[in-house]
Amino acid sequence: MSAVDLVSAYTMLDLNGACNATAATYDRNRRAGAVNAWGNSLPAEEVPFGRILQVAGVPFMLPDKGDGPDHVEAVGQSLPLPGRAPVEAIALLCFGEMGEQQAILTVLGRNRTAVRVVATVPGWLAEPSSRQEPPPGHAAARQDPTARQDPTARQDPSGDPAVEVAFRCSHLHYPGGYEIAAFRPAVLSWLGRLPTPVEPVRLRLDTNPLFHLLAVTLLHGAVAHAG
Amino acid sequence: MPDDRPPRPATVSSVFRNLYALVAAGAPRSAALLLGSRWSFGLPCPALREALTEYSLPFGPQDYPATVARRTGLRIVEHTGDEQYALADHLAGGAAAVVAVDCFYLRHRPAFGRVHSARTLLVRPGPGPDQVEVDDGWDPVYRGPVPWPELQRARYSDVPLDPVREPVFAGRPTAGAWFSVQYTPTPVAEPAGWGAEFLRELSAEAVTSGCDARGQYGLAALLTLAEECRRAGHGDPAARFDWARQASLLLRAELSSRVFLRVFVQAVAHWRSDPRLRTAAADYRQTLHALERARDLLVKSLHRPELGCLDWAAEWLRSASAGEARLVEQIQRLPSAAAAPHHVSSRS
Repeated sequence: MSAVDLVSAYTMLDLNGACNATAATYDRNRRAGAVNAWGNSLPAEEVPFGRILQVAGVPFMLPDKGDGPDHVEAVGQSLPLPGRAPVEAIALLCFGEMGEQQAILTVLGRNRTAVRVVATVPGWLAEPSSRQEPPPGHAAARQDPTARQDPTARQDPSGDPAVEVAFRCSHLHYPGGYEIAAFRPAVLSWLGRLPTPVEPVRLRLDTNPLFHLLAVTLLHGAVAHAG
Repeated sequence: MPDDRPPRPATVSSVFRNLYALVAAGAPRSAALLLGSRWSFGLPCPALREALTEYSLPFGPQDYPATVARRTGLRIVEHTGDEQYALADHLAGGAAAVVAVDCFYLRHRPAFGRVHSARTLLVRPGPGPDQVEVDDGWDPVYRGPVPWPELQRARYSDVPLDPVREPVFAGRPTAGAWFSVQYTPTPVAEPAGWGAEFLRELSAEAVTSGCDARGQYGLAALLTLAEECRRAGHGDPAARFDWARQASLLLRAELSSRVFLRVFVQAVAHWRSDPRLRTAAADYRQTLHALERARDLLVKSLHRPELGCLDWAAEWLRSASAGEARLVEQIQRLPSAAAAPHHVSSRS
């Protein structure tokens, strides 16, 4: 595939305007954590906010990390999609709170088409049952100087081929102002193909606020079949 | 016997996880059936809900241990402290126990010295005179020795509630609570017929609605909880916090016994080679999922009250109620048999 093809193969959504919750905190403000009812959070210095992260060849653009919300909890939002080439697959950078969680995603297209996919991902604190390398065939990487290819990416603990560990943090933040290394929260990537290609207009997230979303990438054309 | 994993590892409360281990030590193939031999929905009155903990057993007109003992012969005894029968004496006899603790006092817990949080451990006689052997299944799991004085401190704690650090599993003293089990298996000659009759009795219990000074029972009680949930979501914030916290603990207990109930239904489907019942058991997984989702949304609401989680939780509770009714209907269609329910067999 040519470089031009690669550039047009993905659409990374800008979630900055849609962020509604805080997933990560710095050491100075661990009390602001809000992933779960216990106020736990990811260590922000280990999350590539405002940068492109590639996982299994799929690029994800993470929101910027300011003082406010830094990711999306699925509460029934409808996100506008750039009307480009037909979408054939959708990829998420995400994790579940309190164990495995499901998100129902509906891609609304022109002519009132609507295609639904269900993403099921493990909880952020699930430990891998085996340490395998990512499966083969996930090598289509966009060459971007800011891209970070995570060398520790591993297959997801559930064994679902649609899910991979994008990165695992070294510790978990607590609102009491401390951190614990016995818990190593993970952010996962999920890839799902649409039953039929859709010329996208909007992406609707059904309600499950225990499903946390850090990035969304649409896959177009042949690249959707390469993974 | 066919069985697949519970919907999620976090589904079963620590007391059910540990009771299962205790029972399975003596009756490995029937432990899940024994713990699943109750099917109602108990909604305690508000005063009784204040006593709910992570390790509460399901509520009912007759308490869970009495119901299970009557049906199966399994005796689960909840001890309050050491006055009547001391945990130390129990362990000295070589037996194991399920023991309520406050993790604040346990050195192997990340919460040690930081967060008061109550749950149970599986405790066995220790390698030394002043030690016990502990099996702590809560992540990060720990198996190893704990000094007896340390366990004693953890057993007698006020477990003060800190709404920021531990909004769910705190707020009630552990008060030395511990559990023991006794069980002598009784063979069952014809498990297919016996199992069908047993399920029929359980389904009759599930649909028997009742109300007394202590609370409300049956499927109607689950719908009452759904309506309370919807109202609480639009009520006073402080009252909403307390209501959601207690309701999440209530669902934790109800969900736990149902995970084992589903195993029971699967076993009977297997014994009877009944594809319809097998499908019903598989479908019941969605009911467990609905209860689990409701429970987790209640917990989520403690930290994010502005999201409207209680409205969504109410919907999941209604969905669970419909799922309960569907399973009852499937079981009541089973052909009748002459055999009466009797004790569960280790041959099951």
